[in-house]
Amino acid sequence: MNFAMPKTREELARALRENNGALLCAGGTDLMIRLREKKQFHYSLIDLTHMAEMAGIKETETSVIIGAAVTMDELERSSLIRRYLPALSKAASMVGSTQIRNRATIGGNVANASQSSDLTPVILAYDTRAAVCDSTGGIRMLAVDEFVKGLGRTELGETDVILWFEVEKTAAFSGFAKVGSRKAVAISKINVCVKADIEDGILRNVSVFLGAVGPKARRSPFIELALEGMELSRRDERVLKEAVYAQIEDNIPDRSSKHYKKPAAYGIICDALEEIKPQSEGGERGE
Amino acid sequence: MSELEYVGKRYVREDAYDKARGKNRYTCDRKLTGMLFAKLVLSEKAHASVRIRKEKALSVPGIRAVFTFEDVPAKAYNPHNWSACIDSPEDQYILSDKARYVGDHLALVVGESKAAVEEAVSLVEITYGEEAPVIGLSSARETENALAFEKEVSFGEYDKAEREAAVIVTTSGSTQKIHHGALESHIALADIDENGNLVLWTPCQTVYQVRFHISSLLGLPYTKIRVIKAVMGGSFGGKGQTVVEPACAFACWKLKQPVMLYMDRADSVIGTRSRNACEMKVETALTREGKILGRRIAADIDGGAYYTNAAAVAMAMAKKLFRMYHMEAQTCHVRTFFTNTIPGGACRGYGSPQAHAITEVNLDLAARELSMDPCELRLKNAAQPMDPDPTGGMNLGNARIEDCIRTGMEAFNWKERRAKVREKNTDRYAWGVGMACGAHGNGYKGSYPEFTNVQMMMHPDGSVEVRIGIHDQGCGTVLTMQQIAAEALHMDVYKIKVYEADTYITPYDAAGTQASRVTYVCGRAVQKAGEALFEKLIRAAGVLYGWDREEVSAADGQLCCRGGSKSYGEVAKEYEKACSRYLRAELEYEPPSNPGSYSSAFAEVKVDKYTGLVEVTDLLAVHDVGQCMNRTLAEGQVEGGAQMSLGMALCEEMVYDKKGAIKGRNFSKYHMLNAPDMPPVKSIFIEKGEPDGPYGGKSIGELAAVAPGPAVVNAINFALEGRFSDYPVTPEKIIAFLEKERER
Repeated sequence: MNFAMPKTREELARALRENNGALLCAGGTDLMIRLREKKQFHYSLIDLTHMAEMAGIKETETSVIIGAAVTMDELERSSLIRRYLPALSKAASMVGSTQIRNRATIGGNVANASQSSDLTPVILAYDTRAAVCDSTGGIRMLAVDEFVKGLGRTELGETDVILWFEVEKTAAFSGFAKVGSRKAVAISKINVCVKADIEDGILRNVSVFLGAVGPKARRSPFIELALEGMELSRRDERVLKEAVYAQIEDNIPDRSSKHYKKPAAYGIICDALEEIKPQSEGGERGE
Repeated sequence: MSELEYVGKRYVREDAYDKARGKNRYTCDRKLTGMLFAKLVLSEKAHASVRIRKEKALSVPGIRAVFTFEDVPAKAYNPHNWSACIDSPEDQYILSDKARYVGDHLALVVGESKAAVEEAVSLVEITYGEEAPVIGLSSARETENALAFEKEVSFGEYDKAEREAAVIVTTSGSTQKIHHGALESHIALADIDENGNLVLWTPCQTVYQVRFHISSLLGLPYTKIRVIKAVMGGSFGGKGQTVVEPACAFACWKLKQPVMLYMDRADSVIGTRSRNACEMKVETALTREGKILGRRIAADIDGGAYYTNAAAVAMAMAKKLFRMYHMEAQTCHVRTFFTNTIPGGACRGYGSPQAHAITEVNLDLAARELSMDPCELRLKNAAQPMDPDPTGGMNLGNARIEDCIRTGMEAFNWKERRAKVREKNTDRYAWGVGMACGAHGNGYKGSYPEFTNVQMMMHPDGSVEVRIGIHDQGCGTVLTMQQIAAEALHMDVYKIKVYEADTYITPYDAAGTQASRVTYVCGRAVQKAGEALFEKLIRAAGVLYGWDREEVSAADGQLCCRGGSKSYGEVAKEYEKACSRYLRAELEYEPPSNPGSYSSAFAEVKVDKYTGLVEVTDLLAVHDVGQCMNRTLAEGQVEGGAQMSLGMALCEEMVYDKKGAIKGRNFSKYHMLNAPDMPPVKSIFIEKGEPDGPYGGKSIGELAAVAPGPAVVNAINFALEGRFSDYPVTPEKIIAFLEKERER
């Protein structure tokens, strides 16, 4: 059993080379539970929370850079995130409990590739790219959509580490909503990110990603089509509802949970659109 | 009754600050020299023969022993039997010979560290020979020899009521298995003292029961076993039966070393006890005016894999159904079945939550059928103070169910809200208000041996010690006893020390801290012992100072007479010196009665018709408690009881698959209502005095978990014009109902 606590990419690369099969630990909120469940008692750990490159939220002229070890709590509070990815701040605020949000990280949430991940719908809606390094210390940029497969699987190698995420700055607005079995501290039965531009109160360039209705969050073309060109505050409920029901039917035709998820998805899409309203009215943007 | 000085006041329990700061030492925080750790290996199969190989587990460094069925005494017991004279069938061993439910105790691993034990537990190799499991009541009903207990309780002629009735309203419903969710998982610590006695610390509800079981299983005399009730992190009935103590005691006795047997959350969820699930059919025969003529009730109860409380919970459920409403006839047919699921055990309310869950929904549906207000319907039928029990049981006592309903209606503004709440409806949200009532008992009088013993002593420093076999489960039992004793003795609450149960220190108590008996039975015993001790004190002052008792007054630990005054301590000291006696009182107390405690709950809900989530936006609970012992503690009981009851109504459920596996083994999957979902709970107490209770008091802790749930279900039914009667009313059930309505 070894424990490494790298601070730089060089130290990380060395730790990866020296500890074959070592587990990567960021917040540990899922890992520790899984180790206990799987009855694993002998393992090596690489703690990623001291990596300078994986910390903090920065901006360049064109993009927002989010360290992979940034916690849910940091995402929720960050003014940069609230300005450019309001749905990400919202999604982070709804993950687990206060204690979990103080430790769980964006990198862990993505790399775990749970079908119920709350951040993934937002990350995919924003076409996020990730900087991934391996045991050589070299970095490659990958679209998150490419390597997250869902149901706990990614195409990342055992020694691949997500260092940061990069999102292009846009003028888009976005909302996130979820439903679990209770208001807070609940795993999503279904969640959604709606991202759109608003022109004169009209939704344009709409992206809708539903989570937990398939192995991983995915684009919902029926819903996007229905929302495209719709007036945000005067929605055609009938058209939207039909599109949502059709989308869920298309996503999970054979699951008995589809009967519940159809109205529930409609409910949370309404919630997400309500999130967008005050943003587009200039209220909460960039506070 | 004169004004009460101590009882009813908001005293703060002495351990409150330590608990709030995490300073209390629970059993898991203790460490004895040479202490070993032990963990049970639980079955992963619901019904199977087992072959267990220990070698790999024993090879883990630090592992001292792996025990199985072959190592433990070939003696069966029933963990529910709380004394030698309670004789439900004995069908469990310290470790099981085969797997009868997922969670059955198959082996015990003992080692020097938790890490070693955890690893060894995963290395105990079990080969299962699987047999078809019986999961759920419908499967049990079709299985031969699955019936564990059956009884019909009745009075009057239901058939006649049925013939005369204008309407008969039938409701079939079900309640679920529920995990107690005490934050402290099951644990016990055993050691051998300097005289060779076995000493066991356990957060339990009945030390005498644990002593009885260990004595019978290990073949030791009662007198060689010392069971000490440890600081407890919650029970809610989950630690009511003996669960982990025998295995812990066995390992300690065998290895002659201290052993701490601990469980984690998953163990506690699958491998202890649960609230019994129940299916119930209620037929109520009423007149057009809403008078209940009679009821026919059939209840099937899932007793789980061992007998435990199969008879007791069925009888408790049946009996309570006769004690809330007046009618001409009622027949209640109860059956308990064996299944290959977690055994049934006590769970706050012991049958009342299940019984009232369905009958109270049924009454609301009857009111709907008769176009009556559900409160008015209940008022027409409510039991009255001092009504007899129609089946010949104990008198209902000062039964204030009518006050609970009337007071609640007014405080909740029932009529207006019922008429207007739907005005808040939108496309998405449906609003409703609803109410329900509940009843519970006050001890075992009339069913089982019911008595307790108290010893009280006053010391020369003016302090008083009280020895009585109570177990504080966190509800403030100790403080309640302090306040009662203070009232009887006219002295500072905090100068009174009430020991918790310890078989070497506290005198025998018939049944322990269960059955809502502690305030009513033990509290009254403490009052009487306090009064007897006070009498001795006055008499001592008479002997010592020639004070005439008519002229003596007492306040705050001082006796005053004709301008002179003596502290209690001075009297005690001078009495010992002059009279060669100590100030003490001792008595055995058997209550003469077992009245009912009653409640009503009023709830407002907001139902999201898209997601199916229910928000309880307002909750009022009214409790007929006779007299509050401590208002803060009573409110705590009401709020906590509401949290459990709402969880039963909305989200809590131990879900078994067809093979008997449980999915939600921890709090991330087993959802209780948490703080963001809890409504503000308003408490009102009806305090009209219970004649045989301590200063008029009676039970509340269990009763508090009865009415809020059905009140919420009735509110949902009102909001959606539904007929929900299967608990919990999950979002999925609500959506399925709405979708069906939409298609109609």
